[in-house]
Amino acid sequence: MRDKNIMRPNNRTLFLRYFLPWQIYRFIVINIKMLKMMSRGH
Amino acid sequence: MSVVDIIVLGAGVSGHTAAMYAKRYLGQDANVIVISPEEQYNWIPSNIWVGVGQMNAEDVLIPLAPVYEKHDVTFYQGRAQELYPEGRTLNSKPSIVYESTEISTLGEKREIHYDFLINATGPKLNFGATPGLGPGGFSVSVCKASHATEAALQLASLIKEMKQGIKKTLLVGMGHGTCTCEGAAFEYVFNVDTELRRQGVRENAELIYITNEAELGDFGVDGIQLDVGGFITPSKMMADSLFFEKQIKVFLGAHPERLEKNKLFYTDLSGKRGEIDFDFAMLLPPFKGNRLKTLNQLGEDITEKLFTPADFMRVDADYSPKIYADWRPEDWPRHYQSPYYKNVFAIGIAFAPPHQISKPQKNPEGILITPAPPRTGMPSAMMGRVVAENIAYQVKTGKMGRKTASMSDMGAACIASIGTGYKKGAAVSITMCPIVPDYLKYPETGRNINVTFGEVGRSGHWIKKMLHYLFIYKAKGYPFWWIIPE
Repeated sequence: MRDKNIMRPNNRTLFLRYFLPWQIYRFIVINIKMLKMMSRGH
Repeated sequence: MSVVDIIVLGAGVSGHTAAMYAKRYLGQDANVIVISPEEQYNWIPSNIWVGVGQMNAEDVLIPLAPVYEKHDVTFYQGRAQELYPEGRTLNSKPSIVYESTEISTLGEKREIHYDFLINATGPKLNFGATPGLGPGGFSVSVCKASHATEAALQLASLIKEMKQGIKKTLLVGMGHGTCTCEGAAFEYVFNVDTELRRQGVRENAELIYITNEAELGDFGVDGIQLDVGGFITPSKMMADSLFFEKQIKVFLGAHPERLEKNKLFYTDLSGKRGEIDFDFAMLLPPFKGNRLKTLNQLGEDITEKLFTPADFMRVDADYSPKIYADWRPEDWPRHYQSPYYKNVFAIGIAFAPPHQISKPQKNPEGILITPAPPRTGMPSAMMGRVVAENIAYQVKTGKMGRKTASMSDMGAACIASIGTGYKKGAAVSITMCPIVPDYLKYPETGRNINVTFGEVGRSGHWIKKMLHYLFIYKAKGYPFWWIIPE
């Protein structure tokens, strides 16, 4: 069905996915990126 | 300036957006009339949360009549059936005929005349394409809030059994080889995974994902090259990683041929046939358009001219048959205007795409197993807004509005939930621009890598939740609703 040579998240990545300060920062960054993308489409 | 009649067929994301903007731009200069078989607007992207019992149907449904009353838009609950784009013998003004779906007038037919028509009838859920598929058969769906509620009930009952130590198999994915909206199935399977973990029964569940995509992460847009952690990474790698991490078994390039009770029969791109046993199946149907019987002034049937065999309406796209290598961004429509009647438009699912976005693939028997192009959510709302703007411009100036909303120019944000909850929730946040890859403009990846990125995290869940409330607010037409972008 699929090979086993698959990229997997390391512990740091798994931790950061839910680490509050980092995620607040990413929330802001992603919103800015979305707005940037939307400004091109609107 | 005389008052113009604008009819909008359908009150989904694209139709509702078009109606609200048309009224906003034209005010008393236009009678905006919405005809929709449903009395409620459904914010479909959140149905996946209804389907796992983390939201109620009322959270994703909005009664349309009060919204339209407040904004001076006329609303008729009914299903459009016939279209007379040249009018009829006794009245040359174009018209449509709809059949009421309101309880008090159920089945009554009525003719309404228009100056402009926006066809936003959305998809016909074609459960019949796969015998045994759908709520009337052996699987559930999350396409409608009522379907999602049924899915949540079945899932809850299964979880009860799993809590007693009974092993169960849950199947999620696409119910046909030509389905679209892989993103919804993707979201649902991860939300089911999260729900099973939350309930402490994940070890008793085998979770299977079946998709018509040749590889994970295709999403019907030929995959996406994303800027992730300093690398240009194919969405396939990101999706493979997530499915592996959550231990979800995957069947790729699959075309379900039929369902029986607790059993799915499929064939795949290699031509292999197989069966999957399941205790619960959420499988999305393929979409068809909603065909309107169309007659010219002489009474001749011209339906085939306006609609494709799959019942989608032809617009200003290039429909000449081409091979994959010859597909061009210019094939995609820009104004969503009928080539035959300049006052007729089709947006959202209702317009006929010129071809797929993903590379078409057939199995040795010649069965097409390829995702259809997605045209829901953000792009369909953009189409609604642009068509409303162009009509308003034409009404005010007498000249054709030339704003565009081509999927080969515009971008899209896709926040794919992989679990809900402020602490445990997460989502894959993806933005891409353009939706249809343009390998002439962006030879390496087909898209502008400066605005095409993806990442997984809790912040994505917050964004998805924020968008839920923002778009519900917007759909309700609350003060300054138009400030919220599509």
